[in-house]
Amino acid sequence: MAPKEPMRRDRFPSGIAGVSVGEIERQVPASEAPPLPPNDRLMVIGKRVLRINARAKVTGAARFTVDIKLAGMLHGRLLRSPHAHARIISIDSHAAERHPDVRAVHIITDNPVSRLALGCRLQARRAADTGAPFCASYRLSL
Amino acid sequence: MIFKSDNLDALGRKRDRMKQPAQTLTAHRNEDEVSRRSFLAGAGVTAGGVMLETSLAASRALAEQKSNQEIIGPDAAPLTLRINGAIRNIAVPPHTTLAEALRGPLDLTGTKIGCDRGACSACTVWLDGVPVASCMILAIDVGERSVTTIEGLADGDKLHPVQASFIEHDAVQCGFCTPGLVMSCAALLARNPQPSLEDVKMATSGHLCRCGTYPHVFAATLAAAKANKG
Repeated sequence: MAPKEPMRRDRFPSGIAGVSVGEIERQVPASEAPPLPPNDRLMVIGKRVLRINARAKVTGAARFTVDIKLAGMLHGRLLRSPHAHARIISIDSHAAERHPDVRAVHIITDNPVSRLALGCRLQARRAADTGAPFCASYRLSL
Repeated sequence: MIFKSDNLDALGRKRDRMKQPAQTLTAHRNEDEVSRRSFLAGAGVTAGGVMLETSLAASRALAEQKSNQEIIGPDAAPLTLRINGAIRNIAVPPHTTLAEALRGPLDLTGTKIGCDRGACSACTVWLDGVPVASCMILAIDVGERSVTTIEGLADGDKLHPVQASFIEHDAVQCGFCTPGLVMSCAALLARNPQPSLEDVKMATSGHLCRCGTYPHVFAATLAAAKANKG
């Protein structure tokens, strides 16, 4: 048998706020914190609090991950096939690799049903047509 | 306009009607006169057929204005934009959207790109006071129109009533869709100072909020309108 803990009797609010709140008396361990004072004497509990970063969010000042720019940061673009269950016949990423802004082209080849690769081929062709540096690539930020 | 093919229709025929004065076109336009470019610009409008009309007319006038200019691109070309009351000079390739120009060289990252295809309205800015999806407009097509972004909505430290109301009513969760929603709701109050709940729902109908804060957005906008009246 554990040694008997000292107890005390105390009165606690009971019920649902706004419906009916009463009080009950019960026995609690002597170490139990005293009951909280009523809400109107509390600073935070039961009070409306403004979201700490709401102002930043409504003014556009909030910085999301996508808003961060670092010196020398590269942008990666993941390309997927526009066709579900497409079979990859071949991949030509030369146009992407030749572009002066493109630092690297990675093609996922270890996945036998890689849909990413077909997308890469299509995008590379498009890049060659327009000169737009947005193929399967990592490129310097603007 | 900028590209060679701009005066040609989809089949490569010369589109002579584009050379008529803009006023005539606005008054007597046929559906088949809508060019792809002006359609894209018009499709960026978040809500309201009246505004679509205005935007179409404006971009058509602009297209006509530029139709005899030199070909620009594919490399970066200088561009002047009127952003939040300031004249900003940048150099971007002609395929750069307004949203990309704002977030990139102009460093105004308050405008968010969610879908980059005009489906989520996170990128909403004003063009001459009309809310548009900036991901659906090329920066070179903005022309003389003045751009207002979320950074330019407040009057210095004094928040726009809609911004203040969004804070007060906690119409913000993760905050990614917030700049776009604020721009659309502020534009709504500008054209309709006393909107109904239905009006607010219509004005924000293109905005996707994955946190699901819509009810608070509606409440905040209606409260801002009420305070304005008050």
